[in-house]
Amino acid sequence: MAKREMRREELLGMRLKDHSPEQWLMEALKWIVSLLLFLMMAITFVDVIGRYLFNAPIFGAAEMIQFLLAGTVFSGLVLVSHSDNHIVVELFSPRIHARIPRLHDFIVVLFSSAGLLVIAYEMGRISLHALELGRTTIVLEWPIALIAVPSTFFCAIAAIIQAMWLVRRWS
Amino acid sequence: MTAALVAFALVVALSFFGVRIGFASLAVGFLGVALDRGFNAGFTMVGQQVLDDAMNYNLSVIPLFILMGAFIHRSEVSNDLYNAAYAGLSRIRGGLAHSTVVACAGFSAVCGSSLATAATMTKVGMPSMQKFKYSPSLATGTIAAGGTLGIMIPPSVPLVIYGLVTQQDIGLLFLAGIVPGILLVLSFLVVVGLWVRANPDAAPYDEAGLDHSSKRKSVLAIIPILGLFVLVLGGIYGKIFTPTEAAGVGAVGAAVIALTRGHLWKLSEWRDALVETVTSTASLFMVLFGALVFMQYVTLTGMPYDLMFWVEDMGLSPLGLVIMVTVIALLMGMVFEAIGILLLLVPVFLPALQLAGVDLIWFGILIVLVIELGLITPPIGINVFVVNAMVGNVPLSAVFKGVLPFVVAMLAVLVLLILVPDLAVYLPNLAK
Repeated sequence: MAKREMRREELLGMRLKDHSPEQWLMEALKWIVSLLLFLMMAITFVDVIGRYLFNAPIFGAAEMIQFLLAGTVFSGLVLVSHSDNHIVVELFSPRIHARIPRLHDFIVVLFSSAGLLVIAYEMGRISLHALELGRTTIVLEWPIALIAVPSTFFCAIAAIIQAMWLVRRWS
Repeated sequence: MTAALVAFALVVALSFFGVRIGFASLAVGFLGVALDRGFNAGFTMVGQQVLDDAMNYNLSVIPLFILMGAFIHRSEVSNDLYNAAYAGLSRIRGGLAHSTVVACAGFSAVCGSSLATAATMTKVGMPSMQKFKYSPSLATGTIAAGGTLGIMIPPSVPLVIYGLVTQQDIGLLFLAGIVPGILLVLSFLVVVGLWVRANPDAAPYDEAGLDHSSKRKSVLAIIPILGLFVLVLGGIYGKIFTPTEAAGVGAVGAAVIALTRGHLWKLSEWRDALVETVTSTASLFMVLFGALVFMQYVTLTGMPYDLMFWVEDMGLSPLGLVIMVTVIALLMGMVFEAIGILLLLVPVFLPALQLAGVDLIWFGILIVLVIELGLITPPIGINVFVVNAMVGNVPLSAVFKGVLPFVVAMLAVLVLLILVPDLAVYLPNLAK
C-alpha cells in the first residue's frame, strides 16, 4: 500500500523528501482528523446509548458535534488541497491542460488559493470579533473562538499548500 | 435575471475550464455580491455562510454515513453478498449478471458510494462472469449501472443533501426512496433477463452453480449486514434516532461488522478509513460552501422569484414545470456531479416548485433518479469510467453499449414515477 502510494506520488512528479516539514505536517494532520471524526462517531453513539439505556444523554452532545464537524471540515480542506482532490468537471479541462499546461495549472490554483484566502480572511475577522466580545455557544458556553481561530489557520494553510502544490508540479 | 444568468454561465465556463467547482461558484458568488453591495458585504456573506454550514449539526450526517460506507467497504462483505445473491439465482440463465444486480443494490445501499460499489463489484463479479464467457458488454454494463442503485435505496447521501437544501424531512425522503429503489432493481433484472433471452450466448449457463456449504456460509454471513440496514432505517422511521444519530450508530455497527470479519484490527486501518472519509467530506463541503455562497448572490438578484413569476405567467402546469426541470437536470447530469445538480439547480427552481404546489418529496426522488442516470450517461459517466479502468481489457465503447439498456430502463422508471407519483409518496404519506 505504502509502496503504491509512493509510486503514485512519483508519477505525479511529487518527489517529497521523507521528512520534509510539509510531509510531517500532513502526517500529523491525518492523525488529528482521524481523532476528530472518531470522536464525532463516538459521541453520537454514546449519546444515543446513554439516552436509551441509562437515561443519561451526553450534555450538549449536539454542540460538541458542531465543533467537531467544523474541525474535521477545515482540517480536511488542508488534506484535500495537498493532493488537489477538489471536485472538478473533467469534460474539456484535460484537453485545455494538454495545450497550455502551465497557464492552466496557474489559473486553477489561483482560484483555489484565492478562494481559501477569502475564507481565511473572513474567519480571521470572525475570530477577532469572537475574542473581543467573548462570544460563546448557548448550551455548553464554549468560546466560539475555539473553533474560529483554528479554522482561520487551517484555511490559510490550505491556501499556502495549494500554492505549493503548483510550485512542486512545476519544479 | 440577466445578471444571474451571466453568473451561471460564468460558473459553468470556469468549471469546464477546470477551475475546481467549489471555487468557481465561490468566486462568482463572492464577486457578484461584492460588486452589487460592496466588498465588505461580500466578505461578511462568505464568512457567515461558510461557518454556518461547517457548524450545521444536520450536516454531520454526511461524514458519518460516508464513514459507515468506508467501514463496510473494508469489511469485504461484497464477496458474501455476491455469493448469497448467486445462491438464489444460480439456476436461471444469466444468473451471474442477475446476482451482480442484487449484490450491487445491497452493497451500495449500505456503502453509499456508487464509485466504490462499481469498483468493488468489478473485482468481485467480473472474474466469474469472464470465466463463464459472459459478453463483456453485459458484464461491465451490469456492474456500472448496478453501482448507481444505492443512491436511491436509503440511506443515501444525495437524498440527505436534497433534504437539507429543500428543508424536507430526511426520514420521509428515505421512505420515499424504497419503492422506486426496488422498482429500479426489478427493471435491471428484467433488462438482464431480456438480454440473455434475446442473445443466449451473452450468458452461458453455469451447470455447477454454488455448492451447498458455500451457499449456507454466504447467506449466514450477510445477516449482520441486513441487521445493520434494518437498525439504521428502522431507527430513523421509528423516530428512535435522528438521521445523524442513525449514521453514528450505523458507523459503529459497520466497524463492529468489520472487526468480526478480521478487519480494522490495526490502528493504521482505522486511520486510513477515517482520513478517506474526512477527505471526501471536506471536498464535498467545499462544493457546498461555494454553491451556497453562489446561491446567496442568485437570490440577491431575485432570479428564483422572477422564475416563479415567469412560470406563473406561462401558465405552466405543475407537471409541465416538473418535466421541464427534470429535463434540465438530465442535461446537467451528463457533465456535472450529483452535488452540482442538487446545489445549483434545485435552489433556483425551489420557489417556483413550491408555488406550483409540487410535492417536494416526490420531486426529490425524481432528481435522485436523474443523478443516477448522470453517472452512466456519456460524455462523463463516471461509473462507466471506473469499470472500464478496472477491467482493463474491455473498450470504453463496449461498456457504454452495455449500460445503454439500463439507461432505457431507468428512463422508463423515471416516466413511471412522473406519471404515478404515489409510487414514491405513498409510504411517506402513510407515515405522516
